[in-house]
Amino acid sequence: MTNLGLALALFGAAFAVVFAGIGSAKGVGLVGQASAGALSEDSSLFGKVLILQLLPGTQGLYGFIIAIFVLIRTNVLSGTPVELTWQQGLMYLASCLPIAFGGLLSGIHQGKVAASGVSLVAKKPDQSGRAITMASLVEFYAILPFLISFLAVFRIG
Amino acid sequence: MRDTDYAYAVARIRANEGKLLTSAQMASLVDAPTFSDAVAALRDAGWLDAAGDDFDVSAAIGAQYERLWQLLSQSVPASSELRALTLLNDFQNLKAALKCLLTDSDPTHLYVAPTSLDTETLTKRVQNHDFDLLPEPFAACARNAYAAACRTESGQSADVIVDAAALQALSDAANDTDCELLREVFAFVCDSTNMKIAYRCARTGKDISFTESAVSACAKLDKRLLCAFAVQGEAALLAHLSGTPYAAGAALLQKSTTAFEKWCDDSVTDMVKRAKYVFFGFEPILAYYYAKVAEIKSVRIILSGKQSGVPVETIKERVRALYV
Repeated sequence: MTNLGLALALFGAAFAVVFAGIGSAKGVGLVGQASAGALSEDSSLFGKVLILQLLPGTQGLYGFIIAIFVLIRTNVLSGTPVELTWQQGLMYLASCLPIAFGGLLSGIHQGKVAASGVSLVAKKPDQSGRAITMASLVEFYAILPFLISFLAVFRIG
Repeated sequence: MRDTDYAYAVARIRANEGKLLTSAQMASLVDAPTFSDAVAALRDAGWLDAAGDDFDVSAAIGAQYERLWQLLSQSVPASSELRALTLLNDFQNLKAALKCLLTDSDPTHLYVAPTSLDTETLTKRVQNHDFDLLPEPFAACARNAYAAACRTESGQSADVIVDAAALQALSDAANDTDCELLREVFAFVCDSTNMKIAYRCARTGKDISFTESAVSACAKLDKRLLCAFAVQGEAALLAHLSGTPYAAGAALLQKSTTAFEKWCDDSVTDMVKRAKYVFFGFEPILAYYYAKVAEIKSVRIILSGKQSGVPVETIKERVRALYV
């Protein structure tokens, strides 16, 4: 089982990109539905609702960045993967979990806040700043797991 | 259905909430010196597309109901909750169709909107006595109501059966839904309608068997007690109702039917106001529906009042509370 370590690391990369991606897909999808509703009544709101729809998309990007770093650190991208012990592989897997689950949940919840923000903007277009601020606050809880995953991936020897 | 499935509809409804008449606009409408000024104020508020000398209040009101239902049916996912909103109108139209069958007349002008039951199909089915081809619960209701009308040779017995079936359907819809607000609103509508029916029975001195058949399922009221007190007379019924959660309504019931109906509408508006803080699910749609219906009723009251020279103070008393 010489490749077990590498397999675990790749599982970690897959977790980071898939779960954070699911969170973003759900979030962006929900805001997209709400945006379509708002735009069907007032197409001039496009710029305002677009920002709200973009916000839950960042989690997927964070997961993708962590996965890329894992692939770089394990030399998978260069085509000559490094030998990893199962303990090292497990460390990569564990390092990816914060962004995987943090991204999943924060993406979904940020999507809900942003979709509510779209409804607010639809009724009161001058409130778009507040709607964006509220949705941005959830981003903080995507950035924290991203930082932890990022630092951990780079500290694995 | 998940609450988030309503995201599109809620955003669209919120955009339309911003177009509801404000209290300032409503006040200027009430204070308008003439009917033409009121129509002009409505046009300025964007409520009416066009208004000329041949302006017809009924047509304008009908168009507003049509627009409301079009908006809801286009944006809200098809659900039992959405269909439940038109239940009372559907039964009202069934009653009209049956009445016209008995009197051999055309029911078209009696139909109310919005409705889920296509009125053209309803007319055809009822006039051909094809009651079984109507969807449930209308089929059984139409069959029973028609049989009762033929048996008693009176349209009143048919009306009683249709009204009771409507309230039963409303009560069943309330029990079937996951929407807490819809349950509350329908429970209130059932109770307030039963109060009105019981009061009418008391005033006209109906016996217990008629009263029990007319009064339907109640939520916060005891049907048995309501009927028993109604048979004893108006005073006994009002005394009983003053000890229920609907004491305020009971006091108005004695004053006038108009005041009682305003209380019913205002109570529903008050109930649905909490949906302003809900962003997913059916609640905001329900709230908008009742808000718009109350607004349309107010505009009708104002325009009809201006047309027939009703004093401003009287119009003010009748205008419904606003949601926004």
